Amino acid sequence: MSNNSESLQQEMAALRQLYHASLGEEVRTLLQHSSLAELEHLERQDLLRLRDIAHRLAGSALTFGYALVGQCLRDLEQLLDSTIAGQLRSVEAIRAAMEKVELATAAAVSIPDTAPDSAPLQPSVDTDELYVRRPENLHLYVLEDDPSTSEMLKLGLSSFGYRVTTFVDIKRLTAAALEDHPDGLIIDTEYSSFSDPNLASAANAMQENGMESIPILVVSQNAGFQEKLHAARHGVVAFLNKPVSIPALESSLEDVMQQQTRSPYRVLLIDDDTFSMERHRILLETWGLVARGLSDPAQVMTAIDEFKPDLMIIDLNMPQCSGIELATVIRYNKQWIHIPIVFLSGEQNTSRRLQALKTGGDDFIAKPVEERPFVSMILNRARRARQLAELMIRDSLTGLFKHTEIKDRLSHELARARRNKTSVSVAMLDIDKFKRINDTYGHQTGDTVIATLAHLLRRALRTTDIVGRYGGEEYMVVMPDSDEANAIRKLDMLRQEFETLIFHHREIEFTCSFSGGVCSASGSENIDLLIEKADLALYQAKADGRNRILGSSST
Amino acid sequence: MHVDDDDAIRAITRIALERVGGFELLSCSGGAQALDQVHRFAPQIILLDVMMPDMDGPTTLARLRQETDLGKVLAVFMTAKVQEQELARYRALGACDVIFKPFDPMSLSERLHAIWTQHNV
Repeated sequence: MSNNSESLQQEMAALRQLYHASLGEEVRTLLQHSSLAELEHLERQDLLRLRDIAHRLAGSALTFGYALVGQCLRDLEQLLDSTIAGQLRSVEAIRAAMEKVELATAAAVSIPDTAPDSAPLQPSVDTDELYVRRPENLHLYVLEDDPSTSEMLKLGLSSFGYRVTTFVDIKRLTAAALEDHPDGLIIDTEYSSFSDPNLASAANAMQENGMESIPILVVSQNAGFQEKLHAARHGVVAFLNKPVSIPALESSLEDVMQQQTRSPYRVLLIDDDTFSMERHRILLETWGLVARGLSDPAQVMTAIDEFKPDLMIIDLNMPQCSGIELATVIRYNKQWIHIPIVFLSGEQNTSRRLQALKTGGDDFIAKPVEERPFVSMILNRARRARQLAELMIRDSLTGLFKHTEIKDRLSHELARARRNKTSVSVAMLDIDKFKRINDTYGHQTGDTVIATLAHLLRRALRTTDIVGRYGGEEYMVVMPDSDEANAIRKLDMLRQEFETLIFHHREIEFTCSFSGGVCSASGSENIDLLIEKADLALYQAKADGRNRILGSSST
Repeated sequence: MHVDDDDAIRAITRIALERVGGFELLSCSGGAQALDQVHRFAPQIILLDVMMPDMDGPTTLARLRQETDLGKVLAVFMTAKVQEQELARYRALGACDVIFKPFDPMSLSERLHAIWTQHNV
């Protein structure tokens, strides 16, 4: 990936150089007939042609980061536009605008290195702290000598998209880390008299080789204050207790690496000034967020419902209604209580600010906004809000949707299938003889089995399918645009994969299996009836000898 | 399919979509070329510059619709203008979204992914 991004940078640089070299020539073409006498005699079609060139050049100049040149060209374009529309005809004004373009261009191309006045090509200025990374690009090293835990960590983290390499020996891990610079280390510690030699040796090796920026996370059993202090002194950024919950580990990784494992954060902007709204929207989108603007506050309910924002930014002063009034209206609706509201305003008066926060706003941003603090604050708030929302709807052991949430999603998918005239499949899965696993190997091992199947399901069904933990060892999978045969085929592949996984309890190795029942619908069916049918198929699968997937139409 | 009269914008869009985003891209210098090649290429997304000298973006889109059944193909305009009524006009012309110039080449493909998801949910 580093090679790839390097060559990408090179291509970008080459392209920019090319543009830098041609900009002067392009602008000369635009300005070749720019004496006052010549401008006097321009026909309408000449004006149109000039306007088109100015427009085109303005677009590319801005894209390549020549902000001043772009702005001057845009001014010229507007002037030509109003001339064409017959609103004014001032040859002097056009001449002056052209001179500005000429000057700005001369200044831009006279700098030999391609150092544009601002660089929207890549948000590279001090961006380490903010840049949104995708987990596919993140490589984690795990030190874990227990094969079961190791397998679970690997499967669990890869279900969130990370690349994972596991080690049992710290020397191997360190040697490999020095070679290919992973993005993070996860170390299972075994403390004796308050210190862990593996952790100390890894941390020291990183430090001695200038790689202390690689975050180290620790998992540990029964750690007390002294152990944690030891970890803190070795620069450990997160400390998790065993048994490791993958969702908790993943959330720590997300914090540590400032990255985003799920969909991008969504921000709804409400501002009657479309220009400032667009500016903020573009700022946020440049940083990898998804932002939608709304200029009419009356539409806010529908917008929240459809867009499902993680955060809202509301202008405090709008002619239709004030931001405070709007926030009050939004807060009437308790289901949106968790969505933070940030006010945009030039308000300096502290008591008015307090008043605004009392009505349900969460923070203030002063206009005009500064890019870095603005984006940083919005990202952090959105991240925190998303985490809270996830806590509410996700099961802590597996990270899957909880019972009520998965049923909600199912009824949502049913409605959609009805609208789009497609089919949706619902599957109920249950781990075979789970009680015996629990009784034989203990609850902790039982939990590992439950979490492992959850990670397997999520990894394999990641894109459109929805997975929930329906009960103890029971899962519900909702598969949109999928008929029964299709759903059975997919689930049966997972069933085969799951039965080959080897679990460990101390020295004992064992395997597990699951059974499933599938029912498809076109959307008009009653949701409870549908679940019941899938459940019936599941019971039939159990009765037929377990470790199989049955469809309700064949039972 | 990307239609823009500016060579430099086409070049940077090519990098943004092919190299950064991994899309398969047909780059057209104008509406005529787009009309000529739309059948063979069968795009899923059409990205159109609004203001082009010979045939502008809205006209190109209208002609494309006449020539061929665009079906579920998403049309996205690229423009510098931000007036609300213009946005409404583009939507009325059948564009599902508008991307503003200047755009950030590193996130253009993600933006298209987001638009795609939004309209295919």
